[in-house]
Amino acid sequence: MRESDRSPRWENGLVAGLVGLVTRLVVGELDGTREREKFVGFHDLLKILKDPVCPVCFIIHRSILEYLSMAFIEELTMPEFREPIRKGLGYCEKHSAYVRLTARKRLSRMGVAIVLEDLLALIQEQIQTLHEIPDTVACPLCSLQADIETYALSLLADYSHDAEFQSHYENAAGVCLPHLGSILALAGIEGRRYLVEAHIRKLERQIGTLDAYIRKNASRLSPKEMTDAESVSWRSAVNSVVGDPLGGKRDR
Amino acid sequence: MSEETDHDKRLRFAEILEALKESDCPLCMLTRKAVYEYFSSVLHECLISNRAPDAVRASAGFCRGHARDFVTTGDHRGVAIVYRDILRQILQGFSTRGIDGARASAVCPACDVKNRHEEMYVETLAHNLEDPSVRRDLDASYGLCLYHASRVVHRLSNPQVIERIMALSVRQLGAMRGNLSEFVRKQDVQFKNEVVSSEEQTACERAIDLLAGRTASSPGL
Repeated sequence: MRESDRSPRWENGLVAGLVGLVTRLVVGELDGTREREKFVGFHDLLKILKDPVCPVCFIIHRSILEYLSMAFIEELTMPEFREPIRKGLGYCEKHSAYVRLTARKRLSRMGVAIVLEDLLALIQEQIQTLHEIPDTVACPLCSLQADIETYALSLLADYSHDAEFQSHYENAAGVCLPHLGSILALAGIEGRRYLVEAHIRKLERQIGTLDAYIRKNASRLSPKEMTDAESVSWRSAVNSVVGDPLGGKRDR
Repeated sequence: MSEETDHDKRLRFAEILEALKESDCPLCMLTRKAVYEYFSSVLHECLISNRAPDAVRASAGFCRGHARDFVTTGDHRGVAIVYRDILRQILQGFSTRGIDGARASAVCPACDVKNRHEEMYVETLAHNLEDPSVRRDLDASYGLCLYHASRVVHRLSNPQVIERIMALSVRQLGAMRGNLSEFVRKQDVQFKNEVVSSEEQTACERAIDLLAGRTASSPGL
């Protein structure tokens, strides 16, 4: 196979996933009229629900980090990986945080340094020849994130009416508000009803936990003992409103 | 918004001159500082009123990036008070009007603070670059990130000053490339006995900051 015939593995998987999504839309699976077979993605989702974060945010974060960790080592010399970075003149500020995280790993760090050096050389040349300082044109991770998000949202929408999913979801942190809105637009009637009711229950529980945290922290001199859930309630509350883009992990 | 006084402008210029002494893009640094000062005022207000300020309620909290920065202020009880209020508001809207009832009606107030201050700092620096002593201070400093350098250049009309800012960016890029190349070279086993300097070791992070800027401590993803 020629080098030019190869595509990054992620793109092949995404194309297949998107084709599947369109097929399911056509045959009526997305409005809940057809049962979807449980595949490895479903079981992965059940595992993710054990983490105290929005599952869609978690899938996005994990997928992007895994892709970058692989790409900065194995696809360093591939045009399919390098060209979008050069054309887009790098990454946007928000996705640069992912590259920063990837650079922390010893194996990927050299690849990141090589790509950055190339990018800086390109920009230096542009400034000298065009007499202007270029802006980032199109961050390649923005389009990648959009594709991953489509997959993750459809996964939750497809199974939102499933009893096994619901039993795991009930005790999970649940999806964040922005992603909930997107999933409700995709899910069938039963799934939508469940997600709305579950979200109300989760909000009520969270407010109660925050009440306890605030009350027990009224005096900094003698903070009262609190449960694990109460001690991180402030972070969980923020996560449930805007999502936690780093999937529960800290970048410092 | 009230009209800016000459005193405000002089104060802002003094802040820029101080920031030029630091190892960071001065405009990124000052923008972050402005947002954190805003967060301090929000936390102070919520401790008195036991609820979120009106602007924060209207926007249903902060955007993703600024929410993460808000959390890093360290005042967890204050964060809890603000977001408990936001969650109550969301619950009320959600229970009565579904997802539409939970949507914000205003933009993130921290974004507004960031954009306003960033614009003022860019304007102030561009205006004062006519002064040769300020250009010398900028030349001797860590320099601007490319994002802010571009913003400043767009404000300038003097071709010589524009050329000078671009030359500074070219020098910064050249120095950073040198650090990155040296770091890569020293990863080779042939050069394993050569010490990687702290500048070379941190070159990846500094290059990312140079390219994209860092107006938030924790950029939202």
